[in-house]
Amino acid sequence: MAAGWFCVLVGTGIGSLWLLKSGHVADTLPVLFRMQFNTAISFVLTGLAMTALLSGAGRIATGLSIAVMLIGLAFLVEPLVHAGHPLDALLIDPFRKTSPYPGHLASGTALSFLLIGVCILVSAVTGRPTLLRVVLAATVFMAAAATLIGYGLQLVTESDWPRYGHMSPHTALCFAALALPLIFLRVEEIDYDASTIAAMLGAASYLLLLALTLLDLQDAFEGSSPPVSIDPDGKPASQAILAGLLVVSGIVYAGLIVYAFRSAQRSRAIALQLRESQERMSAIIDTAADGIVTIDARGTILSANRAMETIFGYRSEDMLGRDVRTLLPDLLPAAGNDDHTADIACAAREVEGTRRNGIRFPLDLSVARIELDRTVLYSGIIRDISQRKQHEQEILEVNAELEAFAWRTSHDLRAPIASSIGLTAIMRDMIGLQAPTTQLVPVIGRLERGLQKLDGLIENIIQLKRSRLLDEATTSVPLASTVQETIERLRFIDPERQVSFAVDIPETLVIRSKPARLRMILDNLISNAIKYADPDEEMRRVTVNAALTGDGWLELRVSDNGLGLGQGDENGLFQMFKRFHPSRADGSGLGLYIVKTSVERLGGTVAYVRLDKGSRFVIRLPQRNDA
Amino acid sequence: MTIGSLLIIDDDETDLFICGYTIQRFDPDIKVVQALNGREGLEMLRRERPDAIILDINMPVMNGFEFLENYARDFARQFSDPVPLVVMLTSSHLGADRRKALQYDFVKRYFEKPLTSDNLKALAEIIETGQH
Repeated sequence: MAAGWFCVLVGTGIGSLWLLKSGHVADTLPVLFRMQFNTAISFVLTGLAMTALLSGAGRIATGLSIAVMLIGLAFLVEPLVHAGHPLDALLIDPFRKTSPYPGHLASGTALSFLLIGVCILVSAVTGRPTLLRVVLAATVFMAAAATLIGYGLQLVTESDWPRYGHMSPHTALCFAALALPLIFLRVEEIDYDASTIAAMLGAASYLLLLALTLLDLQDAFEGSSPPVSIDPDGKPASQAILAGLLVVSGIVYAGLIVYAFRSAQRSRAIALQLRESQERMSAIIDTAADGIVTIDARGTILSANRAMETIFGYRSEDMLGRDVRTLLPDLLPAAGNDDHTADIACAAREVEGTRRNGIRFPLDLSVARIELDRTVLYSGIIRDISQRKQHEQEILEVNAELEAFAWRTSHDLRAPIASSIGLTAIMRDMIGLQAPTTQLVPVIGRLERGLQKLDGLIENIIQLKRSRLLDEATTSVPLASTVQETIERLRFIDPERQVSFAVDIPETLVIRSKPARLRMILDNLISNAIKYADPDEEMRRVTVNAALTGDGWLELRVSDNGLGLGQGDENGLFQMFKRFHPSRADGSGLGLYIVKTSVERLGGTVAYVRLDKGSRFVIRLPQRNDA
Repeated sequence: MTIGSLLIIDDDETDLFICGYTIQRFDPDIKVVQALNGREGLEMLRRERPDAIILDINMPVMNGFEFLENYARDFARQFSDPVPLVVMLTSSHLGADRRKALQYDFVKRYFEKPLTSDNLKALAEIIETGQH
């Protein structure tokens, strides 16, 4: 815009000078009048066209630029056809008598106007930057710049290249001003780098100046066209230009060498820094515990770090180019869906991944969208959470177990107390009724049994607690005597239920185990066998035998001919609070649960075997438990 | 209106004794039938038709909730007459158990052990209003 107004201003100024016909100005600054009046008029027109173009008035720009083109064309063809130019009458004749150098538009100037006109016209018509515009404007600029440099060298004030027409410095300046916006305006839209164009323009202008000077010099030597002006020394002006150019070239060349050296040094340093930073980045990415993957918008894997290899089981080079859906089936819309624009960026969420061996596993995934200049990438951070999930599951199970335990104990602790309250009320009632002692005694008996039951339950809870926390050392345990001791201790818990015991364990059998835990197991199994003996059986028997199996295991069997289990009762036999003969004995329902957890802590297993009459529990323990 | 007969389902013999004694002291004419678990209770119901059922929750073989499920499926739908109503009698203080039991519309009350004559008075009133 400023360029347009600058041209209008200069054009108007010079035009006014022509019109004023000021001899004084012409005498002191003859150079001003080297811009012809018609040039000035043309600049006013071009400047207006430029301004109109930049302010979006396309029609006016088109009209004005056509006018400029016509003027340029007219002056260009005039010397060729040698016709009396109609414009002469209009634009030159009025000043012929007064002005110092009235004349035609020089052919170079006319050509420049024509080219600029075309540029503005093309711009106004297409409305966007085109290669044609840039090339034409660049041509004009080079001519103007070469002229300006020539003037700048202060060697050609009166000289020019007659063969190529001449141009005054302010004309050249106007052309340069007009050409620059036409070259650079929105040039990046057609993917040209403005700084590259600038550099090329500079170089081309310099070469043009050099070429013109050399041509002129050649003419001078050949004598075909004697130089128009000669310096006082008699040397052709071209030689002076050449000398000036040589000095300037030398300076520029030296500057360029220094610059090139500096810039090479700098670019080496930058390359080094870049490599270092890349190495640092890739080291960070590769040593990250989380998988880091980048994919393009179609889901193709572009990079994968080492953790990705560990997580998914593929080598990273095997993952490149693969569809990310082979690893993360739920990440993108199904294959074949063309909607690749769907944004998959997300905060951390849980999805399933597929390992190389086909196993699916849970993972935490967060995806970030990366906008690059031309493409969109996605980076995903993946954390394998299968272990965490497993722990979660275990915690949930333990928690549920604890909850069930709390529920049952709160109930089972309350139940005997509620009964005791009820029984106490009944006894009070009986005493009020003066009931005989024979009626009161059984009630007291019930009360006593209820409290014993409560005591038993609390004992079991303590046992269970101990079984969880029990941390004892492994020692040598002589099995036969341990079993015998347990039997002696339990034999008389219920004098009404006499049971005969048979123990078949070699005296020499010694295992490495944890005695307290082992005793807890034996206690529960043997007391169960006593409690649930069949009252109708004449010979109530409990048999305990044990032997080492060949493969380093101890097999201990506790068998009875008692009440046994009903069909289907095996399910949940070892669960907490399972009771199968509630009317028979006041069990807490914790005994076999304690057995199972204890055996498992010793690294063994427990199984139930249904007998024709009665039950058998088979315990397998490692012969040496040194854990 | 007095209570004619009651079915008590409880695995604890002492609790059965307390119930029996309390009921007998409340009204000696009430006929009491006992069952030791839910399954026995259901079998009993095929033979007897009590006015109400007093039901414990924690029992082996078939607990109170399992009994309620079966009862709703096998009896409550088939009887055109008002089905024998159920009152819960349990040592559990848990609100979740209470809500779960009271979901069934034939479960009228939730008593906590031990059974008292006040409980039986309330039960008699429910039976009376239920038969109007």
